[in-house]
Amino acid sequence: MENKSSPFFHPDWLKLQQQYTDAFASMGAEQSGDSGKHPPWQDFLNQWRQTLDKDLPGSVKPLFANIQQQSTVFYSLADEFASLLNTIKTAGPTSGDWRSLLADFIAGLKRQFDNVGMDNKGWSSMSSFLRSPLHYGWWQAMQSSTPFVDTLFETASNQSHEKMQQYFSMMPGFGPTREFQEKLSQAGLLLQDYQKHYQTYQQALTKLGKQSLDRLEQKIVDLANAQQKITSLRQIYNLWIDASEETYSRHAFDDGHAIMYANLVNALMKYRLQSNVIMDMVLEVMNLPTSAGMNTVIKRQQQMRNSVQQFQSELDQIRRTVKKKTGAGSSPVARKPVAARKKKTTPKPE
Amino acid sequence: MNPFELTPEKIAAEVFEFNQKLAGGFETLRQIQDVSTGVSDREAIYEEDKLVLYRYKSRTEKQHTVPVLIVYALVNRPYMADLQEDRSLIRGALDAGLDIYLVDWGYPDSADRFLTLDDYINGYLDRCVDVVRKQASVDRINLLGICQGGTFSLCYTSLHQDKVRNLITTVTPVDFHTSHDLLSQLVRHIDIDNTVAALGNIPGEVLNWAFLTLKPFRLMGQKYIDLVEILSDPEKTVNFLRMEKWIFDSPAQAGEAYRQFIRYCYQENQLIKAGIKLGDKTVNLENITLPILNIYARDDHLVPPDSSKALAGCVSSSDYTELEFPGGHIGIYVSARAREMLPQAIADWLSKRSV
Repeated sequence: MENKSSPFFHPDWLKLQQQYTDAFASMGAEQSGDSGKHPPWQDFLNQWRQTLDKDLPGSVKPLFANIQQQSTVFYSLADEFASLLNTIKTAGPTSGDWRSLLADFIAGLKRQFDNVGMDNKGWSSMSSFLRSPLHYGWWQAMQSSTPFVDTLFETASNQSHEKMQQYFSMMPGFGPTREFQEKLSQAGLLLQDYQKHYQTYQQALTKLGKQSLDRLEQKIVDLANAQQKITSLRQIYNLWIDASEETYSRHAFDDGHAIMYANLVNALMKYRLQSNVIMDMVLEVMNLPTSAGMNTVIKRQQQMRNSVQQFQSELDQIRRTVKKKTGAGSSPVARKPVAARKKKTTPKPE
Repeated sequence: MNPFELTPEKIAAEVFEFNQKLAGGFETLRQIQDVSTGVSDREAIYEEDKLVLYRYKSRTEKQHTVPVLIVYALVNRPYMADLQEDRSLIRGALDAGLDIYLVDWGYPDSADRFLTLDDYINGYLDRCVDVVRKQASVDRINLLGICQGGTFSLCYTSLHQDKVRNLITTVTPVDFHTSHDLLSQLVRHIDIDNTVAALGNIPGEVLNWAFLTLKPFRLMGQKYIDLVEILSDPEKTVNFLRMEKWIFDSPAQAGEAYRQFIRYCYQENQLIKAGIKLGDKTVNLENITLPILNIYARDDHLVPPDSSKALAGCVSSSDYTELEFPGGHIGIYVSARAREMLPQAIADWLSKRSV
């Protein structure tokens, strides 16, 4: 497989990585007309995307970001397994001890989870492929429902519970009224509560990650026992995905997981609700419409519309009865389509 | 025996090949300007608030006399049933001679915060049914419910059976507490009152998150690596993008209706217990005596087959048919196999019952 005439093939893995990413970045730069400096391979995809992003149609950009993210995962997996294969190769082809080398390798990967600890920063120092999509997915999904104090919320998600407690204990009371200060203080407590549940969730993900690695190891051993071969990185990637899904599924169906997940969502929603109250207090001081006030208006409008619909329906019924009694034609439905009274739209493809 | 027939060099070669595909794929992606969806000709015949009722143009000389009203879910967008020419349940149904109408609920905004299930089912849906009945000059029409739209169709039929001739449910949740229903398991302990009070309408991103967490590693990871393999093929890439567009095109959910649906169905499983109240009426599936065709997907991870098949034990219909589709929740509408199998099966089943 080795081809010394090509910059992409070399026994030295790190050097090889640098070469192929340099070459690949050149390809990207050629397409975009950018011949800037080449970053290390870990940052390469980011750089590449940023360079080329402007050329992509808007509809494709989110997809490309997802491809990029997963490509990083794929590279990370390649990096880790290349290191394992090097170790096995060094041990010699006749060595039957590949199983203990694999076990050491898996144990090494699992130790990366131990570094996550109570501080979220540990996640970023892990191999990309070990980071659960549930970890980054939660934050992405919840951005649409985060309250107005985004920075504080992000801080809470990324700090240890102890640090947050310290943060709030040092925070001075502020706000125009005593009631406002009290609400803020309650929000602080709710944020701490959310943060506690977020940490529990992270710890569960850590446990899941470790168990997925155990499952992956078992799958590799099972293949060996069945005299089957692993011939590609993609095969390893698929095994890891299968192992992760199986482990996750087993946990997710457990009541304990459902309760933990609900605690996380419920804590976030309590905090969000309190934030709404605080926001309304600010708006009220400024003599602007509050969300509570808007809700009242919308509710009343809804009730009125229902009443109108009810009257309309009764009117239609009466009309039908009258029509029947006067012997006019009996159409199955008397209600006139609203479309007949409203502007018709030209149907367009979605 | 060491199972690894791999070397670091071989891995490097594979990564290099992957990179080449990625770089080549960038060119494909750059050339895709727009991904169109919704291929069949149609006309808006009724509008109310955000709702639009469409009638599809016929593609055959002769048509079935009893029209079919497709009731889509509030979740995601109905163009999934008419995604592209060779992947369209609607196109297939038109080719089989059916007269197709479709309810598009639109994108609710904050003004729709207090819409209830009663508003959707006894309000919007009932008025759509009336419009179709009038337009087709028939007393009763056929209903075809998709997923949550199937649950709505069941609720509607139990309360307005005099307006429905035949009912077709597709991948429809009926028993929400079956053992393989992960979605139900995950929302069981959520404080839904507080969630809706906090958020008002439920953002589409939150729903997407819930669906993706059912298979997070496949749906948020593996499929994008799979995609790299097909990036050199513009047609396949566009097909993928079309699906991707649909998956992430998630309308927000009207808060109150969402609260009721989660509470009544997912948390309390009231549909099969005759416990759902819509306005002053109680939904009782036992009221349903008309012919039912219940189509479920064998590999459905969102609505497990058991959840759909529970319908058989809930209704009083003496003409009840089940049809298993060998695929998943989405494949039932967009796969080539679905295109071959379902429209004709539906048309055949209806033609025996709509004469």
